Amino acid sequence: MSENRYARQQILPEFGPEGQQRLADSSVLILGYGALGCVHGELLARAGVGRIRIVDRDLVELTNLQRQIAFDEHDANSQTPKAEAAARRLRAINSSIVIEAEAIDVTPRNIEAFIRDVDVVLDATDNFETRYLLNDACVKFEKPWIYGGVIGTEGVTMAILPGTGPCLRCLMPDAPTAGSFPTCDTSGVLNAAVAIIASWQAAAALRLLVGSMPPQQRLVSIDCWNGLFNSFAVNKEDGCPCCGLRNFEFLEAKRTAWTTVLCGRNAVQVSPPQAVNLDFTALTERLQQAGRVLRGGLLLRFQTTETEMAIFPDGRAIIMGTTDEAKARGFYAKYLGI
Amino acid sequence: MALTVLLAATLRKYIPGYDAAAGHAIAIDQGTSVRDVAQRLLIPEHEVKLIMVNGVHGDWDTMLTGDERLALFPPVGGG
Repeated sequence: MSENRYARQQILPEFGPEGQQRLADSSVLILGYGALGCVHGELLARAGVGRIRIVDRDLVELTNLQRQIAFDEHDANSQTPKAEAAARRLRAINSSIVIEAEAIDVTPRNIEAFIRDVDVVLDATDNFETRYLLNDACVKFEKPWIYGGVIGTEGVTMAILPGTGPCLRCLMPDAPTAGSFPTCDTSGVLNAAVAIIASWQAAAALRLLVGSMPPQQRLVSIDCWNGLFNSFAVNKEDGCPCCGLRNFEFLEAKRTAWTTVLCGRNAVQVSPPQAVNLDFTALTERLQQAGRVLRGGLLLRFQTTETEMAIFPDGRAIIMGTTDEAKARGFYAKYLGI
Repeated sequence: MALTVLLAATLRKYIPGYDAAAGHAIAIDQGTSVRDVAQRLLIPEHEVKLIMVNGVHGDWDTMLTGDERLALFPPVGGG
């Protein structure tokens, strides 16, 4: 008799042989493959989820290695697409499951194709624009998804089960204003905090997939550095623009940042979904944590080892040195927040 | 009797010497709103994305009696 690689999991009463078979027959989408996604992939591939789809637009960089546990120095030196490095690793971990990987930017135009044929979506994105888009798509197509976000030494997570409980816009009706909030690149992030939140998300997904009682639809916050754990009740709002009124503004691309390649300039302009009035003093303070900031007249010039951008008071930014729109959106999300 | 204000992540800088484990206790009058508390503590409204009062989702206009636990979060979106 051959050894059962899932033996230690299958003897859990929460799983059993039936639960294990359900996992083998199920599929997940990991949207984004940064620090959260790396943990999701490891746990779900090892647990035996039958089909794992990975979608990420980014390349591996040296500064990722502090917390993105799937990658190594070779991946960073060769600037391997994260989706490619992740697929290689997960196939090496478990050759009996199917790994699908795409190095692509998720947009209102393509998100439906990524979520339609999976059972649950794990949020491993690093920006709110994609999360609100994911929320719209998942509510519209009644797909469960698990929100996770981290900043500093803490993070939050909530299972969102469309039709039965609150969605992201019941919790936060409007997306945060572009360029007005901290990101991991400007405020830092503790690797252990990401691992805890990602593990919590993975457990919620496994619980859904094995057909156990659905996870609680409460917002959980954990600060592992200060030893704090809290869980909060969130109500489904009848007037919620998304799950209440079924007004899918992000999916219909009414609330999406616009990118334009600036011909002949090797640059891309990113415009936030709505006009903003940036607080240059606060933004300078945040950006100085990540690179060099020069304030002059009507704009801020910001430079790091990987990018250079000019930022205007209305939230518009010109990202220099690239004509790749997905890459430019990525830099905007990383440093200004969107 | 005091209101306990619990601040997450980047909001903590607004209370010098903030104790993350204990939170920040302040006395308020009954009928004070969450917005009034943020203004008194000089926490900019636009930096707060989530408001929880005694473990339940609240908003800027939620009225307080003075003995609650008020938790404020910035947008938590890193990943």
